[in-house]
Amino acid sequence: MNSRLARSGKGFARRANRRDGNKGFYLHSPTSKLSLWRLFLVWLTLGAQSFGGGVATFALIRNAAVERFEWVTEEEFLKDNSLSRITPGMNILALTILLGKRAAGAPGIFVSLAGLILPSACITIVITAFYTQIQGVPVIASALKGVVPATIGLGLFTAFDMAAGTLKTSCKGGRSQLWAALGILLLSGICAAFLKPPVILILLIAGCASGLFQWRQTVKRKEEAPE
Amino acid sequence: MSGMGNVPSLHSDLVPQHWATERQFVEALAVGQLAPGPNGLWPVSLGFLIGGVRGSLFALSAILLPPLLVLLLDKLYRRVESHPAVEGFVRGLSLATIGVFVVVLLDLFRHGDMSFKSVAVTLGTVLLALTRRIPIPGILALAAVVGVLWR
Repeated sequence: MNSRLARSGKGFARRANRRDGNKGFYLHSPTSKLSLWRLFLVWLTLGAQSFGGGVATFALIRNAAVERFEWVTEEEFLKDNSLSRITPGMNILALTILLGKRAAGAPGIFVSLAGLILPSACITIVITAFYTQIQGVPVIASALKGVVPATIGLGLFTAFDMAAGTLKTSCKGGRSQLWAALGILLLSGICAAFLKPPVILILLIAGCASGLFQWRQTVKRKEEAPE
Repeated sequence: MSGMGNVPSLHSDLVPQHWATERQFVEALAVGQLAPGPNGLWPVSLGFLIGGVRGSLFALSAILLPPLLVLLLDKLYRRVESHPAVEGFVRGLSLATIGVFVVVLLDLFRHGDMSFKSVAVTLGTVLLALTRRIPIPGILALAAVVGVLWR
């Protein structure tokens, strides 16, 4: 049943039908050939469709992993995303590696990277070879003029979704958690906008601040809990 | 950083040594924007310009290696996962990531042409995406069409 849903690929609209307990279509045979092939196809279509740069790719990956095929929960995705941004190298690739691992272990990693990169790398080489001819075509330039702001809009939407998810989780921890979360969100944005420190610094400071806060909360809760 | 994070360091590594010309560099960056997939693949284009298919394969493998370190990071993370501070740490990280991401997006927007058309397309995209009825590639294709038709 899940493979039918996976194949329909009708995007967001299909979400409501999937509350049947199955955590996506890799559950039964995570490393069986059929699932690996499906996984490869998912990444392949992702790689081939994501015009508009890393933001579009990111949005597509998240959409596929969390919403359409559901092999990862929002929280797991956020964790993987955070880790991928601290690692050296392209964070999209690191994210792909982690998500591939969740879907199907080591073969999953290989298959996900291959699917994502192959079409892009090939098309990149082809475009490079013919670049002098393509460059002048005004249609392409105008199309890009439309796609670039759309990519930014897409990024804003994705950020909104992710923020909503995280804040909802913080809500569960109580009012102070929610405020702390909002505070970190806003402060990190303000710091990034006006101070322009290296990104990883902001991330680590935010992480430590939040971690300490969480720790204090847990300790406080233990003290307040009836023995 | 939309695949551009390594531009300064690669530029200073390759161009002064005459391993790549300025022109090849600029061309590779443009191709990176045009081609689908992650923007960070522009070094593959540069590799092709410098050394043909072999050059591009070489560049590709160079790109693929560093992210594999994330697996190590993941292992370390799983070991400390259960500590209460760690969940908070990750959440703080995630929130800051989102905050920085939004700032970068707005920066990118400011570097664009900031015309009424751009603003309209950006807002339109957000609204369309919020409906959750139109798949993302569809939205981007629509944006391309709008770009062509609306001058």
